[in-house]
Amino acid sequence: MTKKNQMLNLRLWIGLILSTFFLLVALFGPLIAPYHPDDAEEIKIIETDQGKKMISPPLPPSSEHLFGTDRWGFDLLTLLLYGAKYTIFTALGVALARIVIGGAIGLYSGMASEQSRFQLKMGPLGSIPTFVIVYFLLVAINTNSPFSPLTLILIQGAVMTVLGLPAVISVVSEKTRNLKQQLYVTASQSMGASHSQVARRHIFPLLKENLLILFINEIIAVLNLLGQLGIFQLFLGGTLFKVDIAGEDYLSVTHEWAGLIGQSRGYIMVHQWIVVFPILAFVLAIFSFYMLARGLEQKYQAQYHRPPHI
Amino acid sequence: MNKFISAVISIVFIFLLTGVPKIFLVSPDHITVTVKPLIEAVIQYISGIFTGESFQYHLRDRTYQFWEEIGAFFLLSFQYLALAAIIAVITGLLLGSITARLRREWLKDLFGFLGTLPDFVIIILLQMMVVWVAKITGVRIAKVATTMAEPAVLLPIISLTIIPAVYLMNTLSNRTYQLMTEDFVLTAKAKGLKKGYIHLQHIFRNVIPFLKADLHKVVAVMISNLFIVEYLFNLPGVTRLMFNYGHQYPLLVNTFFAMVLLYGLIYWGLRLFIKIIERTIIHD
Repeated sequence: MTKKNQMLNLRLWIGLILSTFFLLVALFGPLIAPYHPDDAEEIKIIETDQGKKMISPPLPPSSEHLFGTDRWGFDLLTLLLYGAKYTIFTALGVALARIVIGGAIGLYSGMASEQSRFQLKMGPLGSIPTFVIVYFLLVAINTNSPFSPLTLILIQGAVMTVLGLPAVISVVSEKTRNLKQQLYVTASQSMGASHSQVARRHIFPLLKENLLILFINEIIAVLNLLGQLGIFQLFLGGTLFKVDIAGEDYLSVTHEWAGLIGQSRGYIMVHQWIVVFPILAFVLAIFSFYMLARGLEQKYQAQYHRPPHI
Repeated sequence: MNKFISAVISIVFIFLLTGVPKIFLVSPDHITVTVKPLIEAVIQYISGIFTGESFQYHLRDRTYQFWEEIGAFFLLSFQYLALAAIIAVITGLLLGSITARLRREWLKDLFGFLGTLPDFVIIILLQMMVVWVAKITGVRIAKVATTMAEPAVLLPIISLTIIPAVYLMNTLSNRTYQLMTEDFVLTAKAKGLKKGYIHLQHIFRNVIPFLKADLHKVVAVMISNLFIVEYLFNLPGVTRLMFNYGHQYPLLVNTFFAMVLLYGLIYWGLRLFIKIIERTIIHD
């Protein structure tokens, strides 16, 4: 064992700690939120040295509102804490479903004989981005929908799972086919091991590590997808479309993070905190899962390392 | 035969997908699903091909001819994509072979993380950075969005380039590193060949097939980026026809076909570009 292997796997620890933090936020966010998501700051008139001054939302970050408030006076930190569970748990759930279903199909097709193996040929369809497909499938039922947010999340989760399956299946079946060619597999096959025995004893134990890393990468991919849909006003859990004197507004029903970014993406010139804090939360979540994946990769790769010649 | 089937499936898929919003009738308390409007729209489209009605679209009481308008939209998207694709391939190849030799783990972390960031995050942060620099120094580096007069150029190109370039850099860097552990490199070294020569004639040439294999994914990622970039920078490209004109079924179908064509042009253009690189650098 070299010195590097004994060293603390810093990336893995950072990833674990941050991911746990986000899980806790998703679980207990509403309990620690400073306000209720329906509490809005009204227009206030306060006395200052120069006389009376009117304060109206959006309020910038202050000790009262750590992340500031949005245009309607809602506390952004509160919205983020309430919305976290939708974003985080949807990403986890969809990624898990993709890995379990896609992994099973991939393992099966990788073990099958060459003729019947799963063929992934997208053809011209590969040019249509996933989020565009999700958008057209759901845009009609997602805006001002009579469905409850939970129903909409389940529908959108199912759609995102199915669309992500082909990629997972092809990675897993490819890896299975590689592992199947190892000497110890052919040896055990010639000694009479059945397909299912080989899959269980020889393939799956090695596939496990890959599946774990794939799972975390899928979480990041789902977060990406949610964000892209948010930019096009398809918010997880429903979009509220309103027309009032201020113009047209698309609002997120659940306050999930991609929705908070999408509904306030116009705040680039002024009141930037309204979009900056949701983006920071989103990016930090991606960062923590990325660190987790990198840490795991390093942990496993240390076993198969070959040094370069030049 | 296989190609023919996949083409037919794609066409059917486009006809159905663009029509999905038509099959849901949403009222405040319930949703009704009827397939009839979708079938009618498809039949209307097909019969409209001969009368020319399928190639018209409407905006505020005015009727436009698809063939007359699509050229400008298509050209803009194509120019942005082509430029970004060429820059991405060149930087991906160069940085990929450089970072493979550096072997700095934190560098891998940094670029890897940059590769996982969503495109819209990069775009919004770039826009804010320009605004922030403008506020402090008074110098406007680039246009944050397209106005009536002139389209934004610099930031959209940067945004379109970053993700494919970083993706290519990461994968090609891993491939280069793997190739450096191969035995033929040891043989070449033992024969006394120079390092630079081995890199160019032995390693680089073997990286190219991986680049070709990854090209479909790269172009797909770029098309996906194009939607976000044109939307956030308000560029009058192909994707605008999908989102800014309401739900006009014939227009949507036509635009989807235009997207597939754009994908094909960029893909085969890049294949040609890589062929030229191969011919000029590698010689037997």
